[in-house]
Amino acid sequence: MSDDASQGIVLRKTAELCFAAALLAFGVIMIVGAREMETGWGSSGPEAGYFPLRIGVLIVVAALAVGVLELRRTNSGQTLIKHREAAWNIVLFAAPLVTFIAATPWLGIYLAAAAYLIVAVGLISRVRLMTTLAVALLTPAALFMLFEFVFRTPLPKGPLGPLLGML
Amino acid sequence: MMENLASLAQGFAIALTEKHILLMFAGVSFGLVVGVLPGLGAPNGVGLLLPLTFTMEPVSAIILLTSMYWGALIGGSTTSILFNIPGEPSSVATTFDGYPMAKSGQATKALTFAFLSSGFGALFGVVVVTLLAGKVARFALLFSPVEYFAVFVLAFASFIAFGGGTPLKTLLSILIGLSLASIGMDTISGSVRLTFDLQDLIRGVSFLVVVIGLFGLGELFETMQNPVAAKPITTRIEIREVYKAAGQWLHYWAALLRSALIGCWMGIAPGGPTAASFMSYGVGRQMSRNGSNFGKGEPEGLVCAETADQAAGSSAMLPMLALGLPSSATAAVLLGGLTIWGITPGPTLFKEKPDFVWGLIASMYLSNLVAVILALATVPLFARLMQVPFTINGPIIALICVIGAWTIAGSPFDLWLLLLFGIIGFIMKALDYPIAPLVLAMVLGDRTEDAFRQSMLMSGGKLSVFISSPLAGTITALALLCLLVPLGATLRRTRKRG
Repeated sequence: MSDDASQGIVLRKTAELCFAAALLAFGVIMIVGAREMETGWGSSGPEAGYFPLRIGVLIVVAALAVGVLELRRTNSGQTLIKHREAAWNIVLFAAPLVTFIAATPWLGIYLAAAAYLIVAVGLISRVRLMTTLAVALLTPAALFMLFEFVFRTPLPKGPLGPLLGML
Repeated sequence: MMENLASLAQGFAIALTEKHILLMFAGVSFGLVVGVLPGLGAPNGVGLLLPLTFTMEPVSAIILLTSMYWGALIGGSTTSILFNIPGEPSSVATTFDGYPMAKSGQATKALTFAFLSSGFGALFGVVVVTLLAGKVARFALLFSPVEYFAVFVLAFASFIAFGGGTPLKTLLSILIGLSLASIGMDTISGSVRLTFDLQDLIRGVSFLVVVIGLFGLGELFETMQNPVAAKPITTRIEIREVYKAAGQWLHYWAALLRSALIGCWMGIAPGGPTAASFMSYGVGRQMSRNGSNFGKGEPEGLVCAETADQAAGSSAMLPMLALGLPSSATAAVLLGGLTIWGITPGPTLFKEKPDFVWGLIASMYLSNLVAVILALATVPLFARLMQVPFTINGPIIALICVIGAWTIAGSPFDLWLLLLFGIIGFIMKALDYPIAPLVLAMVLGDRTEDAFRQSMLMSGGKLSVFISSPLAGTITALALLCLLVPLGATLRRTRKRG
C-alpha cells in the first residue's frame, strides 16, 4: 500500500464498489417496481412497465460491469477523502444542513435559516462572533424582502408568521 | 433568408421594450454572481430562478433565464482567470492560459480577451441561429415519432462517445436519468408507476430538485472539504489597457473564426459548451503557430477556449427550440422550463409562437452585449465577492439551494430529495460519473419513451421501423457509429497494452 493510501480516509476503490453496488440495488428496485405493472405489449404498444423494466436491467448490467472492471484494476492507491480534516469539514457542513432541512417545516424558512447560519458559519468559519451574527440575521432579512416583495413567492414563516404578516 | 430577417426585426420589437431590457440586466447580473460563485453554476442558477418565472409571460421568462445563462458563462471565466478556479465546468479550458496570463501581470488583457472572445462567440452563434432557424424548423417538420426517438438515442450516444467521461459511467448516468423520469404518472396510459406507495412520488421526481442537488449541493460538499478563501491576482482594471488589449485582440481573427465554428458545431450537435471549449483548445494547439506556448499564458489559447464556449452556449438554443433537443445541461433545464410555461418545443413552435422564438433570438444579440459590458464593469466587485471566506459563502449558498428546492412545490419531501441528490452529486463528481447526461436524460425521458411507444404502435411492434425511412435510418446509423467510437478506443488501448 502506498503512503497516500494509508493516510486516506476513503479509498477510491472502496467508494467505486460501494456506489456500483448502490446503483445495482437501484436497478433491482426499478425491475421490482416495473414488474408491478404490465411489462409486455398491450393494445397501445408497450405497456407502462415496458421501459422501466428494460432500463432497470441495463442499470444492473452496467453497474455489474463497473464493479467487475474496478475489481480487476490494480493501480488503486488513490484516495477520495485524503485527510481527517477534510472528512471532518464535510460532517461540520452537512450536520447543520440536515438539521435545518428537518426543522424548516416547523420553524419556517426564516427562523430556521438564521439558526442554521449561526451554527454553520460559527462551526466552520474562523470569523468574529459579530460577523457570524450579522450574516445570520441579515441574510434571512434580505431573503424575506426579496421573496415577499420582489418575487411575491411567500415562503413558510412558521411561528414568525403572525409577526411578519404585519409588515 | 429574408423571411428570417423580417422575423428578427419583429423579435427586436419585442426584446427592446423597457421591461425586457431590465430583465436582461437583472438576468445577466444574477448570472455573473452565479458564474463567479462555486456551487451556483449555470444549470443550478437557472434551476433556482425557474420556479419564480412560473407566473411570467413565457417570452419574458426565457429572456430572463437565457440572459442569466450568458452572464454565468462569462462570470465563470472571471474566476478562471483571476483565481484559477473555474466557476463553470465550461471555463476549465480558460484557466489553462488565462491564469498564467494574469499571474504574469496581464490580468486586464486576459479579462478583456476573454470577454471580447465570449461576446464574439455568442454573436457568431446567434447569427448562425438566425440564419438557420427557418431551415432547421422546416427540416424538423419531416420528423415523426420514429425520427424523434432516433434523434434522442443519437443525443445519448453522442454523450457516451464525445462527452469525455468513461463510456460505461456516462451510460449509467443516462440510465439513472431515464429511470428518474419514469417515476410517477405514465404519460400514455395515465397509470401511476414506480412510486412504491409513497404519496410524494406520485407527482414524480422534479428535475429541478435533481439539478439543484447534483450541481449545487454536490459541488458545495466538494468545496467544503477544504474551504479556503481564494486570493486574487489583481483586480484593477485600467480603461486604457482595455482599449489596447481590444486592439491586439483583433489580430486573432483566424483563431476566433475557427473557434466560433467549432463552438457552433458542438452547440447544435449535442456536445455542449464544455466539450466545445476543450475541443477548440485542442484544435487550436494543433493548428496555431504559437501552439507550443499553449498552457503557458498564450492569449490565443484563451481566445480558443472562450469563443467556442460561448458560441456553443448560444447556438445550442437552435436544436432546443426546433427539436426540443438540449445539447447542454443548462439547455436541458431551460427546456424543462418551456414545458412548464406551456410551450411545446418543435418545428411548429416557429409558426405558432413566432413572438416567443424571435423575441428570444433578438434578445440574445442584446443580452450578450449587456453581458460583455457588465462583466468588464463589475470585475472588481466580483473579485471582492470571491474574497469572502467560503466558510461564509458556502452556508449561504446551501441556504439558497434549499429555498430554491422549496419554491418548486412547497414540499418538505423535496428538501430530503435535494439532500439525497446533493450527496449523490458529490459521489458522482468524485468518481468521475458525468452529471450533465443524467439531467439531459431526465428531461428527455418521457418524450423518449413516448416516441418509442408511438413508433411501436405505428409499426405494429417492429423494431425495423427505426431503419425503414432514409432519415430515421441515417440517424440510427449515426447513433450506432457513436457507440462504436468508445469501443474502438478501448480495443486500441488493449492492443497497445498487449
